Amino acid sequence: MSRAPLVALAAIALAGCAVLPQAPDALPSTFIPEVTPSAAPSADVVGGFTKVEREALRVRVRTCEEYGTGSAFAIDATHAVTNRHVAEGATDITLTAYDGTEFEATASVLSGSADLALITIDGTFPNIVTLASAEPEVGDMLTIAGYPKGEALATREGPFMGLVSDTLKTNVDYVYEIDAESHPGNSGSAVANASGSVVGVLYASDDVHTSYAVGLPALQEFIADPGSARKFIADCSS
Amino acid sequence: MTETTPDTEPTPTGLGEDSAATPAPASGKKAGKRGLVTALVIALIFMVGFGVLSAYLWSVHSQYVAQNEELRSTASSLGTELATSRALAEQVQGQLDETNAQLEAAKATVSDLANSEAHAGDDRLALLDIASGLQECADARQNLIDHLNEASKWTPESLRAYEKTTTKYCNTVIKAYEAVLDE
Repeated sequence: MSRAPLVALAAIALAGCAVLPQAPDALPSTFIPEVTPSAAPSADVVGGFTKVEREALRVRVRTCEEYGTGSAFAIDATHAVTNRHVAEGATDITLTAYDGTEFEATASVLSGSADLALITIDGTFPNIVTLASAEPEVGDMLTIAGYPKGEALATREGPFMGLVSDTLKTNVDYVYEIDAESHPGNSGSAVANASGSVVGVLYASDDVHTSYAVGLPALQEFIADPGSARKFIADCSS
Repeated sequence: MTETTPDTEPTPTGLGEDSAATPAPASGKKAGKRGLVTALVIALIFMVGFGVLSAYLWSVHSQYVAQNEELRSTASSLGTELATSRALAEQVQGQLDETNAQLEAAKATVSDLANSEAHAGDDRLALLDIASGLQECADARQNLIDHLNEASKWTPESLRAYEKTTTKYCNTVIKAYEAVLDE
């Protein structure tokens, strides 16, 4: 008998082994993958108020002729920054926090080069801002928290449009243009970046959708050397 | 296959010669026997192979069946777990939404109260100033009355000027008071 058929049969048998079903692989120990939980809610919000909102102060000003309102923010335990045009000519200044806590001002210093003023209070501010380390870049979203028209606290957001010259001529340097709504009463509001750090101080708007703010360099310069504290005007008879 | 059988009849010349002259039939039987053995061996090999193959397939089948049962059990367990988790997540989401709504309402209340308080402060300051103004107005009018009581001491022009100034001041205070009331 020839061996050829046997060889052929053996070859077929071996080839058949290749198509035989294999035993299943062992099952994994678990079918549940490791999942990293999403970030916890930001601790930035307390009682429903964001950091920027808690730092916003309402300013009530009495001058010899009228009453006015504005906004401000604390830069340390006893000092707050607002606009020069808010504090100018004041005989009395009262600051009110987001929760209604009032602080009586004892003195103010007006900047000679920017629309900024430093107010000293008799008391301690519980919420103090953090100044940004760098100026915003065009397109960055900025937040404005203040008291438009002296009414309830309101927060507006909008992108930073760029540097522009001050058409009101109240500032020596360039100012920030922001595509966000603000109104009288918002003057002195902190302008904060996405991380809640202050990059400027709002001082003007078109009352529709464009706001203007004193820039970070001018603010830093004023805080570093505000000059000597000056008592409010006490006598309105002259 | 061809046989090697001789084509001549065997010649009975002796026993020794007879046995030596007939090798062909013995060789054919041997070959047939060998073929049979070979066939049997092949059949045996096939049977053993079939048996081994069957055993292997049975073993693989059993493993798949066992694993399938395990997977079904795991899938069922995971499904139950998933359904429970989803129900829990929906419940928690509902509670979270409710809490957020309450927080928003509380925030609005706090803001409204702070705003009311600030406005009350504004009004208090304005009213204090008006009260002070009204007091000054009253003092000025009392002065005017005193002057009028001693009119001979003053010129009519100066008295009229004083009266005009006092009236103007008092009217300003009264207007401010009415403005506060209107607000």
